[in-house]
Amino acid sequence: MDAHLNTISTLRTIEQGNSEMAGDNYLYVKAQTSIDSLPDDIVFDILVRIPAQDIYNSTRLVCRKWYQMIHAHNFINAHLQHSTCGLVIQNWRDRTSHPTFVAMRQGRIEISKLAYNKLHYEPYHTVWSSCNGLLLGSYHISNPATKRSIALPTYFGRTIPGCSCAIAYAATSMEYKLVYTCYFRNGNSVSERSCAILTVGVDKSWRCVRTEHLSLAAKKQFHVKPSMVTDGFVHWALTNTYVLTLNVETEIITQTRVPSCHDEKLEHYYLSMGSYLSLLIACSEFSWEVWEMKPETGEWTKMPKINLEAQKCTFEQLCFKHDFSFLQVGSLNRKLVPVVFLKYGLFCWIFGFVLQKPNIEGAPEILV
Amino acid sequence: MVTTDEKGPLTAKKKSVIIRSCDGDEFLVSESAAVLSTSLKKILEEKEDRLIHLSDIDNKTLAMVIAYLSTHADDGLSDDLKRSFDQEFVSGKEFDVLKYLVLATDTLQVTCLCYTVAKKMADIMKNKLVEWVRREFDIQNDYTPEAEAEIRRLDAWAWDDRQLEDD
Repeated sequence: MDAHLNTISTLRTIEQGNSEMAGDNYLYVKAQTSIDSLPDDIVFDILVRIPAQDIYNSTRLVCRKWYQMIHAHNFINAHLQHSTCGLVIQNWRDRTSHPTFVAMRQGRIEISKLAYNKLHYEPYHTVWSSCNGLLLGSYHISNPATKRSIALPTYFGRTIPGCSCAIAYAATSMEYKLVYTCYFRNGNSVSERSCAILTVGVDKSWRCVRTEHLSLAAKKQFHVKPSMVTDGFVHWALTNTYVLTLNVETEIITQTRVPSCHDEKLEHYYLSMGSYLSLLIACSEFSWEVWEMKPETGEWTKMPKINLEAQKCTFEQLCFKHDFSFLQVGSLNRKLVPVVFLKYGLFCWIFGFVLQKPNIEGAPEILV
Repeated sequence: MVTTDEKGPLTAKKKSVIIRSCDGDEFLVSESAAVLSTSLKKILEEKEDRLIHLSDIDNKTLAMVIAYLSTHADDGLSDDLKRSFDQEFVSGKEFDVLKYLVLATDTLQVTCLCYTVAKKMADIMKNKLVEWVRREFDIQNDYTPEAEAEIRRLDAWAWDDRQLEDD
């Protein structure tokens, strides 16, 4: 590592004449005699790397110029590019529990509590969907970092529940869209389920998404809420028959057949893996067949199987001590899947395993 | 038999330039290291001259930037080693030193170092009081006390149990 030092040597002998000759090669910069203030573009580069909550607590209060810079559209977009992806985890057995934010930073898992209870108008703190730090609650969409929230738009005058919606980001148009599984009457008093979409902060009313091209079997997926969000896509994925995928940019919905497995009764779990939708088929209590779907094409690719049978003892020891349930919750850094263990419905432990190298990693962390 | 072209990589590597700081110190730098700076690269393309004077960068800051450039120009080092060098490079440095460094990287247009330093500065600014930031950046508070209190009051519901530091 020290080798490079040989190439640098300070030459202290300078003659006046040399400096005259070098005149043409002076590198002129913005007149800057002292370091009073850094140029705006450098300040931008620094501020864009500060976590949102710090920006809102102190940075934007520094001066009006900084405030204006931070609230500009290009800053918000650049800041999003620099943010760390994470997961919002919540214990649904205890509805009074707070959502927890879990993120990987420099190889370490960081956990922070969201002080969601201070939103006095939410009777419970359930988070039904989240996207880029925006949380979709029962009646509101809120941003815990900017401390802002807006009421969910009504659907033809009716209040709609957050539990039947999902929120996703259309990166090209830089818009957030709300997707809702709705009922509508088709004339002969038979109600049918379909899907409606709305651009948050722009649209006053919902648009119906075209579903005529979907098969009847595929349309049955609308009986559940949109359950998964990957980058720019919302999925209805719960069963072993079809997955419906809505591109929030183009607002076109497509149906994809789920890969068939030898035993239809096996449990299917779906996970959002950033830009992919993952399917885990439980072959036994501790092993899963893994598939990945590319939302753009609807192609499924078979991935290496996850087998944790060897670690069974570890789990069983935990199981003996605690009220145990095994639940995959999503992905961190697009490859690490935290696994949550619930104890008496109040505490949970978090383990992670890497999909490509399925080993249990790290010590359990307690999430109260 | 191996023949080496006159303009081959071996000869190119040996070429070096002298860079002078604003306080007169001169540094001998290999050309492969110097061209990692977009500004220096432009000068070297335009002029045959091998002496470059930087009127805005002091010797301490310039020495740091050159150490960085030389490490990153070293083909013998793996990307992992370079990454750990970057971590080490900014760790433990005073905020003031980083300010000079980030200015120098902006002048010399060394984008990757600029981002590394900006990241470090952002990390230091986490959990800091507004007053600390104003002092370090030498910024005059142009909010009236009422205007500042109003912004704070509007946003009092989340993340507010954190302790901010003033050192």
